Amino acid sequence: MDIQLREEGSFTVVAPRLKLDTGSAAQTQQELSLLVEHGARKIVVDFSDVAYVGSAGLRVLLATAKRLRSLGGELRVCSLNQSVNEVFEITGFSELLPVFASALEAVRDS
Amino acid sequence: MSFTVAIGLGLSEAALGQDPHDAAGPHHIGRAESERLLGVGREYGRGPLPTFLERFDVARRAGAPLGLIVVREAFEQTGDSVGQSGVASLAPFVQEAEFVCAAQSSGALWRPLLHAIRRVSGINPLADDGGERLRFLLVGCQTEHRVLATALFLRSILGHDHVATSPHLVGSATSEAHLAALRHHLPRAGVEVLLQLGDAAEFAGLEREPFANLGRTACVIEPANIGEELGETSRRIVQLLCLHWTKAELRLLNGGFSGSVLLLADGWKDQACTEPMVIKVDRYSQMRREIDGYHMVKDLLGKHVPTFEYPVSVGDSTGVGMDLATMEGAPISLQEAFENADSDDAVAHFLRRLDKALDLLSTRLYRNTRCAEWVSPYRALHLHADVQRQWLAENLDAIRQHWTADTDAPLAVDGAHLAKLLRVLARNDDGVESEVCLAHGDLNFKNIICDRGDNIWLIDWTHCGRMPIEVDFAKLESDLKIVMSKQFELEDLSRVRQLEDYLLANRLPSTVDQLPESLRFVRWDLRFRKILMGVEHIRRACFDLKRGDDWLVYRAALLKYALHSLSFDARRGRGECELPQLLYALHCVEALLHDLVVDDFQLKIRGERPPSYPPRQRVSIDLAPWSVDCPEYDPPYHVDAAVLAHDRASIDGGLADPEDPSLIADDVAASSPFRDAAGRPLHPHGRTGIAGRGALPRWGPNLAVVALLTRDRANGGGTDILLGKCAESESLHLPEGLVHAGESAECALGRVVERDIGWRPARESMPLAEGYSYDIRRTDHAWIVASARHLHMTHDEAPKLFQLGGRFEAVSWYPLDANTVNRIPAEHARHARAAIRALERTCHIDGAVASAVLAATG
Repeated sequence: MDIQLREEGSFTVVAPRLKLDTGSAAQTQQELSLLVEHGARKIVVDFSDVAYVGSAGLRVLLATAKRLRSLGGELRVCSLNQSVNEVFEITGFSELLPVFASALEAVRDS
Repeated sequence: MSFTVAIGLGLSEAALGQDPHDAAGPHHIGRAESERLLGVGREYGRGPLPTFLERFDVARRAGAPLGLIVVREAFEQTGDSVGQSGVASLAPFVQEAEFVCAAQSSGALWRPLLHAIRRVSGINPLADDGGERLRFLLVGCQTEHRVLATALFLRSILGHDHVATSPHLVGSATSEAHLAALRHHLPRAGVEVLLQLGDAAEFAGLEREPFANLGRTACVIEPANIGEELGETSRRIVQLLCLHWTKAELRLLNGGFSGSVLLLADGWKDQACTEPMVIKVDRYSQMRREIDGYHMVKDLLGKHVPTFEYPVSVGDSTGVGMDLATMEGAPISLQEAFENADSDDAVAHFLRRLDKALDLLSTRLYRNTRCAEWVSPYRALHLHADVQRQWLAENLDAIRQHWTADTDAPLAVDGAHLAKLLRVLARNDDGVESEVCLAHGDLNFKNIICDRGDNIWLIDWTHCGRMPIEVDFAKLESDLKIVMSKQFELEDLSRVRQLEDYLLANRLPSTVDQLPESLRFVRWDLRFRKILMGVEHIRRACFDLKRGDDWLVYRAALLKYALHSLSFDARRGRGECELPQLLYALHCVEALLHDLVVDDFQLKIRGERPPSYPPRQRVSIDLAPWSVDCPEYDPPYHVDAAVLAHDRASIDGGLADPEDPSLIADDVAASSPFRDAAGRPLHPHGRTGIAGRGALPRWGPNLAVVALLTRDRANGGGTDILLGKCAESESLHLPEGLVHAGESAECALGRVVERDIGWRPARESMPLAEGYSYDIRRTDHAWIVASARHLHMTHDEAPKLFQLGGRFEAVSWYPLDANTVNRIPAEHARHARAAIRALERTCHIDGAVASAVLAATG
């Protein structure tokens, strides 16, 4: 399993491993969808262990954010390394999703 | 006290002859016109013209301040009295008149006419107060030249304010020219056209009553309340357009929101019903654009666009009458046909008409005029402007209030998030190779008219122009889904959203029978079936026409029209959309924004290229930086033959670097923090999808200069910018060119401008910006560093004639407004915006005007 889950207060923290790209996007999407179906409304995607995010990964993030938003929830991201942060900046995703320095900060402000 | 001079024109014996069968000469106005003016048989001499002249003469003899001047044709006999004048037919009605002779050249008439006016009135028509004391009523024949020329002389050359004529007192051998003069030429010249004979009598100070039963009354407008609703200006225009009828029954086809009025007029001549006419009245500038658009397409669409009558202008408004050739039965718009379709048979009939209209447009217009062009979709559709986000926020606020008022619950839509999505999306200036063609530009179902025989006409060409081939289809789809879905209630919304999500996920939707099970409600609900089938027909027509299966531009256009639909808010008096339609539009906006912001177009490196380049290898945007390892990156290598031919290592005076990387100078190699294995500098912004220098002569940075030439307009009414136009493109370009080795940017600017327009600036320009500039010619190994320079001139200082020598097909001064700036490609539009800020700082442009232009352009 390349994705780790943990509960932090009202947030579910999802921590994918290594890459969020074409190869892993489908599984991540499935995991996130299951979480939403099981009632998770506030999700933090923790990028601590993610070295790289590709366009497929960005699609998964935005689709999940859209679904959560329609259900009154929210998707946050945290702990972006420099390369992932650059991708977020170039694509404008840093404007579209709330970005936090750490999981602790992401779950603090509810 | 004013003095009224009636001037009789073309009242020759030939024209006034009693026996219409004598109407052989070229000076006779024809039997019908003669009878209309003079009367026929035993009634000869009792028509409106002789009756008017007789009453006028009687009043004159009784001492009224009236005088009659008869302009005698050059070919007629001479004489001093009425009886001897050669116009014997006037003798029974007029005892005394002043005669002047129109010589062979009409210019020779004016001097004797001035003398005659002075003789009959005792007033000098050239005196300062002559204009206030004299009134002129023109009667007679040949409205289109003799009456018109005299009216123009009195009104435009002498400047007399009170010049009038009346259709009851003038005629012509050519009815079309006669009507054109009365509707168009005379009113435009400021000549009053008195539609009632009684009005003409009053103008001359005579009693109305004797004329009550003479001549036709002005066209009666029915129903009376429409006449009143139109307002005075529009009513006057409609009356002028219908003056050849005795009655016009009007039906409003649309109007109100945009300020335009579209009417269907059924015309009557006494008891006979005539062919109907479509009438449109709008502001002059809008009608001007519509008429221009109509001229662009009329040779392509022939009888399927209306035939225009001469336009009629009153004040700032203009109206035209349009004939729909070969019409069978009363016409209806395709919107009415759709709304009235309440059975499967009726829907099938609607779809046949829709297919016919789409086939007509595809075959005759789009296919005939298309060519491939690089288009920046979000700029081309004006989604890049800041004002789009302002409108989105304002409209969303209003929708939120309606929702809260109706449901007592908050609306679960985050407007700030939508604005962010739109900003991220619209920041993308990348281009796609798109097919551009002559298109309608505002093709809604009200602009498609059909009749009982399923003949089709396309109206309202105001927004016609060259644009991506998908635009009209997307507009129709948007219209079909949002504006026309009036039958939906709030409880239908979840299903509406389901269907919309399906339509967005499937470029070509299935037929009703093949829909997924989750959409089974579409099968038994005609409202949804109508939308699904309509969309299917529209998209099939579009994608049959378009090469390739990319539908980015189609979705971008859907987004544009869905955003626009948010403002068609019935509760705010701005359109026809009630809350369910507005929420439908909002869902479309939300879904399209989320879809487009993660499209390949958004998440891959820019794909634009000049025609000589091979396609770029478009890697994902996150793989663009050289610091990211990308083993699959293997771009095509390309250098234009023209660059190789100018290799300075082998040609004296050659402007291009040698191809051999070992000859690259150290400072060039160091121009970027990145180098390839051969030591060539790499594009500082990352991978571009093409290796080599492409069309650029130098490795690494290629210096270029961009010229922003602006001038004050002649009357101080604004600022112009000099722009060039290339063939078959709506885009406008600034003069630009590469800086040669050892040349300064200022010298290069002079050379480039002289090359492009044949004129060299005499003054030094001011630097606006300098640095890396995006250019479609960029490659992994060569890019542009541009110096944008600005020179503002007075109107006299600026060049007026251009000698083209560069890449432009035409060069002109354009108003420096939002419309112009939005037609300049993004990188150079940035410089135009900087020039506006510079002009604002130097007080050449008003601050409020500058802010409005800047908000609407970026």
